[in-house]
Amino acid sequence: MIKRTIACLLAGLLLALTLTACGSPAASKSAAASASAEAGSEKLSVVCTNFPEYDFVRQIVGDKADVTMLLKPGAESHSYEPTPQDIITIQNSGLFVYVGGDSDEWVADVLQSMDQSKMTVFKLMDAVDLVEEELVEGMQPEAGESDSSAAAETPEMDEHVWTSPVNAMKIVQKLSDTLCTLDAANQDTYKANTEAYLAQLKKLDGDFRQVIGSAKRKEIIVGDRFPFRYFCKEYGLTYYAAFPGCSTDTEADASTVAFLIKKVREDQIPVVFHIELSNEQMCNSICEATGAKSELLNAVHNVSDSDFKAGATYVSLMEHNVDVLKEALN
Amino acid sequence: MSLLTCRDVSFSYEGTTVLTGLNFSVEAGDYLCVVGENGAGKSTLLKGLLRLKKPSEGEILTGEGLKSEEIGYLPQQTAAQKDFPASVLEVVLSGRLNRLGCRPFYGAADRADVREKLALLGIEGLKDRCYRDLSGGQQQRVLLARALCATKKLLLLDEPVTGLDPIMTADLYRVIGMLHRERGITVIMVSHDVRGAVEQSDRVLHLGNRQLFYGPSEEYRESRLGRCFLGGAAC
Amino acid sequence: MLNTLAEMLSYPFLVRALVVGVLVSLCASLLGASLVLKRYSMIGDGLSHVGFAALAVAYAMNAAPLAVAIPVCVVCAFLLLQLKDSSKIKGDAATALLCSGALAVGVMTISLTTGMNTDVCNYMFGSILAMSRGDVVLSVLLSAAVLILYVLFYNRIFAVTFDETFSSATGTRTRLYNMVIAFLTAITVVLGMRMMGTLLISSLIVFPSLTAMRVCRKFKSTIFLSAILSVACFMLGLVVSYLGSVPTGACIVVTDIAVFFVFFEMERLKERGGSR
Repeated sequence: MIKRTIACLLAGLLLALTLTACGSPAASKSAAASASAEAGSEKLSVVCTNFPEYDFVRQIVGDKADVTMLLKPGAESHSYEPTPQDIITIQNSGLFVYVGGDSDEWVADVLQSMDQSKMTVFKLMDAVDLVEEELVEGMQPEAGESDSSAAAETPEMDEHVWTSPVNAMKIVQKLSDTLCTLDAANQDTYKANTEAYLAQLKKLDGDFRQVIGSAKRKEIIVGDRFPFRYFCKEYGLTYYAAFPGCSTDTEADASTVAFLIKKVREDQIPVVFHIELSNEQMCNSICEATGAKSELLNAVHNVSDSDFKAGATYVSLMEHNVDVLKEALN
Repeated sequence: MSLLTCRDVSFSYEGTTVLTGLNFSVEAGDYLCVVGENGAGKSTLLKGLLRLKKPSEGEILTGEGLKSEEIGYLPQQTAAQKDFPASVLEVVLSGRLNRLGCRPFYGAADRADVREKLALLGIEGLKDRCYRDLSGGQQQRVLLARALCATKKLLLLDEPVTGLDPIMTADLYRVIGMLHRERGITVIMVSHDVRGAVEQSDRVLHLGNRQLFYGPSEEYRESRLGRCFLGGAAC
Repeated sequence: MLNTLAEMLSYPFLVRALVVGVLVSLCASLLGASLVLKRYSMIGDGLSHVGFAALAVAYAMNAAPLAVAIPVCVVCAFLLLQLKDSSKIKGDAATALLCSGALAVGVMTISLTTGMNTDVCNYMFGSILAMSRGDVVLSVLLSAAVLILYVLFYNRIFAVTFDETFSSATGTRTRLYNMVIAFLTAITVVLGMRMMGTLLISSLIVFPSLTAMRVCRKFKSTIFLSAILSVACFMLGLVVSYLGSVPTGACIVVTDIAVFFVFFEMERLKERGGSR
């Protein structure tokens, strides 16, 4: 009898905790969805998959269109699976923006099954030149890939195109053109917002060039996954990291960590980076062994719930990157 | 004062009475066998006598200085035990546990007692053999030795010959009988082997969810109940 | 070999992993001997899945993970070990219920809050980087408790493992010993699952004693051998995973399996030799 009571209490407790823990995020998303549905069919509805797209569109349209982000703040962008609600949201949108890389493989299937006559689709990876994911010394190759000596069957294109502000400017321009075509009524506002935003991005680019140009060394070490290919290519930085791209590998190999520790000691790097929404364990282990400082280099896949509510933007998050880069490279 | 007395004892599980009207006493030196059909309550009674289950009514009294830890018990073997990696010495030594008190380890006296019991049952040669390598009959003797280490006065046997072939059965009865006669140990044996048990014992307790018969074995054999049950027919 | 070891010991995270791993393996093998013989081999799996659910809930509430996981696992361990043969749901069914039920609760919690991410995978398969200084302290305390229990109370543990009914009947407090074993098992599982992973921690509990039972004839030697094997396989697995760049948890289990087959063969050869 006592055992049964305890078992019931335990089950009840676990259930209660589960329900309370998932309070706000789910609620806010459905509220936003219904709000945009109600707000009326006059406004253009734009659906974006991840945060950078969402932010870019938001900056261009201001409040003249409804923008929805499918990814919940704080969620992992690479393992996102759309719910039936999300698919309906995409179906009802006027413009659907997605990246087009490995994490968005589900998009192709979903779009095929949809009536695309009323919808325009914008693929980020079509807007810029693409680079392959590359294996640098010390990286743990992705599961299933053979060593770099074998010829690549289908080269995996790195999908993190937005990490370079120069790419961001190209994307923003093309997005703006598309939005103006779709929503001619507001194109003056859109054009003006785009001008202002491009200026911000140009300044960001300038800041990076200045910091990197006057830096003592041009090498960064990322004790985490590595989404910064475009960024490093644009500004001429060499790098070492634990995984190429954002591999689905999460188990940190002891030898990988050991290699990075050795590299930090050899090249006397003062700062080791980790990316956003990471458990930081690898970075902390490296820093503990070498005395280096652990800092966030934000790849802006997604933002945490608290950052989202505080109004973080692509530009604000990248500005943080400027500061930490300055520290790391000197 | 009898060794063990049951006065108006009843047992129940979750509100349903499964055994009632128990009124009997066991004197020192008795050899009692408990018989009955399946579900009659024999194991329940044993659990009660071992203080593993409290009676819902009545009381069970022990006399003549018999402490509850001084009852030797030969339980039915579980499948897990038959495969256990322990030496015979270790198994029989565990019968001395109730005398350990606060001491963590067994002493020379404990080991001497074990050797004596093993010799008594004729299995001294098996001392260092692994328990699971023994035959069914040998395993029962080892468990019997363990039960003897736990007691000087009273042995409770739960279906000791189940699963043994006729030769081993006769052998085990002989050993139990020897312990009863030569050592004066009181024996209470639950058994499905009615004929063999009644033959060996001097008193019979027949249960059928209540006490149906308690008395000397000869009386039982003459009684209508006994003749029915021994004859194999349901009554 | 020594060079490799020296190199490995120069990294603090590896030193911690080594210390916690050795101690957890030791405790798991000792407790495992008792659990396997009582036919509770799957309890490690059941408890690790419950631990996973508890960690997921703690993560979602931003609470200290161990503070939530340990009490929940301890309670479940008590419940499981108290199930008698006469209860309506038998031991193995109850464990299966807990296993999949808890895993489902954990996955739901995670997907409703942050979505499946790297941390979840780390919980499932373990991460060698996950050991903190606090874990080291806890594992030292745990091992001390387990060792004291097994040395001072060895005879009672044996009696309770071999024959619980007999022990109760002759006056041993079997319930108390079951509770203590359950308590220590829960802590071992929670500590070990962060390094070995939810899915693999039960092998640390089960394999060493199964291997030792192939060749041992006494309970005492079974316990000794399973403890030695457990620690040895852990260290070997750790070194191999470091040199070969393979996941640590899986490497240790593969080592355990290999050693098990070696002893299995030894048993077979001995039997065949004996019967001739």
